[in-house]
Amino acid sequence: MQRIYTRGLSLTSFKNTVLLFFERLLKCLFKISDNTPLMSTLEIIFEKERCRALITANNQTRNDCVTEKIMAHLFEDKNKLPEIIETLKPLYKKNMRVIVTIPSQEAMTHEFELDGTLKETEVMQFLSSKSVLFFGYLAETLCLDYDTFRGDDNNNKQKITVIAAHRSLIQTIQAAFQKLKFPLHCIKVSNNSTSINLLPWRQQQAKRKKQKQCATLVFFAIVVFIVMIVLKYQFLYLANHYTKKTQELNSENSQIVLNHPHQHIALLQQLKSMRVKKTAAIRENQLAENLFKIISTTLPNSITLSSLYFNSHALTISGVSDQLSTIHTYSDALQQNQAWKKMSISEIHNDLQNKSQMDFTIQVKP
Amino acid sequence: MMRSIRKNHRYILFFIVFSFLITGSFYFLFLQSAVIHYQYTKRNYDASLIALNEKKQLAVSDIHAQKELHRIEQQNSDFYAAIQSNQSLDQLLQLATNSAEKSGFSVIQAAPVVFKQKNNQPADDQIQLQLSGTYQCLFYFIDQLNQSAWPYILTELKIQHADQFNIQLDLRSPS
Repeated sequence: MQRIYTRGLSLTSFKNTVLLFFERLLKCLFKISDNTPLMSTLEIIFEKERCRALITANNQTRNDCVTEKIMAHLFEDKNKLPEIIETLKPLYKKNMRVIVTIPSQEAMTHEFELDGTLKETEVMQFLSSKSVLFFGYLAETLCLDYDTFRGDDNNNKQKITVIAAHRSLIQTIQAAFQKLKFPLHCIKVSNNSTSINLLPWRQQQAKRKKQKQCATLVFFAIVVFIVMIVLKYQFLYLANHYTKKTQELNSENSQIVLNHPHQHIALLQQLKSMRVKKTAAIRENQLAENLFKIISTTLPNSITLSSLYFNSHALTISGVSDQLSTIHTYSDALQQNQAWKKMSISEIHNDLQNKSQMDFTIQVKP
Repeated sequence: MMRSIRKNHRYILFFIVFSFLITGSFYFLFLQSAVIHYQYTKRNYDASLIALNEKKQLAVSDIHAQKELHRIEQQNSDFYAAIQSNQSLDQLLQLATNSAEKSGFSVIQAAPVVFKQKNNQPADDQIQLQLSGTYQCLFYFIDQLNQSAWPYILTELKIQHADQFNIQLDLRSPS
């Protein structure tokens, strides 16, 4: 009883573990969010002569500013940036979103219209190619990001706002955060309502997407591989099973010994067929015998038969008589029999040598 | 959804091609030999099963045939012995002449008839007899033929002279 209980318990716990695993897997795959509150934000706003740190607790309806820390700092003094960040690091808590806002004087803005059908990568390529025209610097020396606003629906154009900052500045901020192992999620520009992020997030997103696609392919390949291996062993198992069965059948087959079985069957068939043939032959012979008997029994004394020819198609009788009436009497007597219905006198003529006698020929067709 | 599919159509196409290639290559690398081996053993198994069933059926029909043969042997021993002896045309000719002589005929000539049929098929067994005797002997002769085990059929009779009979016997099955 104790054993059964323990087994049942372990099964339940295993079931729960499996269910929990699948729940987590589904959440990861489909990004299902549960009802936990949204993460709070630490916003570090660099102004020209000071630096402010705001911690905002995000609720679904409103943002509540919880903490604010103000420090004197000249933004142009980049060497002191790590110190400032280190000072602010204690404000960071796990799962917090960290946003850095740089002064608008450090960034360049450009607005223009572009074909609405262009993809993200195409827009980025366009901006890179036109960076000298828009901002006066090569794309390699700048960090660019843009935001789109759907224009007039009729002309299918989109309004694009591009913001650029010197790559060296962005890299300096990134390096300072990385050095302190302080996560950085976004670099914004002050006095800008767009969702522009000067960090290379688009490249990272594209990279993540590629990695995900590659992972899917590798996962698929692994699944196919496993399926093939399973199938292979299944086929090998079946082949082995059939080999054993074949051996059993062959041994069973060899145990059955037959002594000339075909000879017996052939002899029996021959006997049967011969019996049928014999019966038919007797019938045919009796028919012929009957015909011959009728010819002799009905023959009058005044008629002499000179020849007789019989085969399966016809019967021909030739004879001699001295009276025509006797020939007809004989013919009538023959015709009374059922087998002689198709009888005809094909020829009657006087004998050339003996004029008193008449030759006749009677034909019967069965 | 449609937008997402359109956006990723290259990847979807690539995925389809990739899946075909990976499945095909894995099949040829791992599975093909196993499948061929399986098919070979399955064919052997089927053949053995068919052979065993045929042999069993043959055994059953052999038992039936032997019983039937035994019954025929007991009921018609002469017929059984005659058919089992499997006589040649010359021996059948000899049997026919013996019957003719028993019927009172004198045998003038006796010969098997050889002629070719269409399509080079084997000729039917026929015997031609030239006999001398009375019209009554003919009836005895037909009775003798009917009593023998072999299916002799009188297919042709020619009487051109008073005591000379040309008879043709056929040994085929009547149509």
